[in-house]
Amino acid sequence: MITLKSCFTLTTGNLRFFSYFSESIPHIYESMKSYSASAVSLLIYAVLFSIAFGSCKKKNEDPVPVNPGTSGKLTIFFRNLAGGQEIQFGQRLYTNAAGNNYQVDMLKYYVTNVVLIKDDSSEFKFNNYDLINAKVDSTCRIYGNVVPNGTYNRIRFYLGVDPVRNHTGAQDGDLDPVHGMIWTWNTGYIFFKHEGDFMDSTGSIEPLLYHYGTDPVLAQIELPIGALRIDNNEKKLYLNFDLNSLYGSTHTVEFNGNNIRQSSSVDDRDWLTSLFENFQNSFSYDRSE
Amino acid sequence: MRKLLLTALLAGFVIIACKKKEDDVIDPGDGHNHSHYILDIPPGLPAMPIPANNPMTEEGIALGRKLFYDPILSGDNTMACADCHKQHFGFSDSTIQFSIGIDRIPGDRNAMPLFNLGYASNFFWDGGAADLESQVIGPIQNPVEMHEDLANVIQELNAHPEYPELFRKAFGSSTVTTPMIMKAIAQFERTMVSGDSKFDRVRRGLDSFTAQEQRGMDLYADPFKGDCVHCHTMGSTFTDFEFRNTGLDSIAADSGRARITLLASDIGKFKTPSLRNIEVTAPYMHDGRFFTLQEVMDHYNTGFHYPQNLDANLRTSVKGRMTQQDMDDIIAFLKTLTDYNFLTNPAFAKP
Repeated sequence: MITLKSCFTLTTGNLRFFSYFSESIPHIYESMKSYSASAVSLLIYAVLFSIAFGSCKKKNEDPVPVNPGTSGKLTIFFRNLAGGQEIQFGQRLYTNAAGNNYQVDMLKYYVTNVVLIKDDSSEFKFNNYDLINAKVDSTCRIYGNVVPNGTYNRIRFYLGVDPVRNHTGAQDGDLDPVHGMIWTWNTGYIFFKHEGDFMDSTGSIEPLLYHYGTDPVLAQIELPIGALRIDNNEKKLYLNFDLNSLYGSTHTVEFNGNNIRQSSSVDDRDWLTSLFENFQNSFSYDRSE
Repeated sequence: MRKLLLTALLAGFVIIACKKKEDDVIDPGDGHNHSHYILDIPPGLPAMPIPANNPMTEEGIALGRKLFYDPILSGDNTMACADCHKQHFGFSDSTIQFSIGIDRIPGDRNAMPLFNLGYASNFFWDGGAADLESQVIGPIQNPVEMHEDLANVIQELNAHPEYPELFRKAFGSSTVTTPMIMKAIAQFERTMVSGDSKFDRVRRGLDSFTAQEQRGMDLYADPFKGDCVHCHTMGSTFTDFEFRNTGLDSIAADSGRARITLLASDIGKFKTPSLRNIEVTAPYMHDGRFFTLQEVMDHYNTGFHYPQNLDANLRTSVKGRMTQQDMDDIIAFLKTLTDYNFLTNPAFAKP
């Protein structure tokens, strides 16, 4: 909210700035006339005008310069697990820490603002907004095409969308609302979505619908990744995400009576907080190669 | 000194030239220049902030207007935005308490009137939509409203004989995307400016209040009588855009703003609506429970409850502080806020 408000203030400020100056143009022009009577001066103005308009042309933004010998490529793979096993969709194969038997029909989450941290604490930023759909392998990869050479020993990213991008839906790519990862009554992305079902304490099968998000629960994850050496080469980094850690690492998440949750009620806060804290322990480094 | 001044002026000119160019020409990169649209804001209303990522163009507004009136945006192509937001009722839904969606299911909040939206920084009764662009996709997808899937709308629009070309004219690409739909409708909605009521004309010295209307305006502002101005600020937008619990129930049936903030202190709070065009936007309140302005006056005079989150202004209001004459006078004043030119402006009608 704060970010959005400040954006609006800026826009209004700029508009005022424009109108202030456009109103001033005739005055400036009048003053100029009094200072320049001769044709020579007019010529000078003509030259300056052309410079002025010339300077307005947008410079073609060069792609990030790639000096051979200074960077490599990195693909980050997210493996989606439940209890250490690759998730098989549509099968009630998994048991959380609370003992609930559950299945996954849909698992999607945003991984954004990936940062690689070198051993000397310097950082390389991906500036990415990626939606991971556990069902579609090609979405479970994040590409770094120009990663500066060096040894990286930590990775940091957001599980979710940062406040700069979380307060409007009018965005393209993985943030396009067409992906169904934005709330329709409350502008903001659904950071994480698990839909499926579970067997409740009476033995009946009940729906499980977890839609997690909003600014206060934007989870920042930081992990050691060994010593990942980029040296004019192509590397792969494998990270694991485990649903059973999300439902049972710090806080045990009980599905009974708690199976439909999204950010829409004061009662959702405890659930949001539990997941927020558990997310810190739900990702782990597997290997790099 | 002269040279210095001249140089300074020229430097200023260089900057202006650049800014001006950037401001006037909207080129999305397709070699097609779009016609920059300058909003005509009546005196008495402030300049409207236009988001940098959605500049107003003639093409964008025309497209947004067509979409606003086109049932193609609903699940079974039977319902347009305009079906629940009718111009003659200030773009609210006539006298219906809860509008009926395509599946014949009523909603649970009263359809809001639409005007002067560019001054608001959030939308819906609970402020859930953080910008006008994002508001657009709420009703389209809501199961009790237009109940449509965005991917389906995109597909239909891309296959349509006219729309791809209209999107190209507005946004430079004939491949329709969700953000383009959102931006076009938001652009059209920003043109719906209402500021030409009798109240405005009196302010401009072009008309005068009757004695009753004048008494009503004084009572509207009187802290011991109407006390309306705390929230419905006098002049301009007639709202402070804040969220308040106005004591409609002792225990709120609708959590209101708390659905967005998840704060218990926001339970039962709803956005202060503008009082412009209030005469034609009945029924009133977030749930449309009051069908007449007299019922609204009765609520604020004697009918309000004392829930925990009751707004401080009401908490200190004395019940029965207004006579029937006072309330009649205030209602007479409120009716001067009806902007007939807005309600009949052909620029906002079905294209």
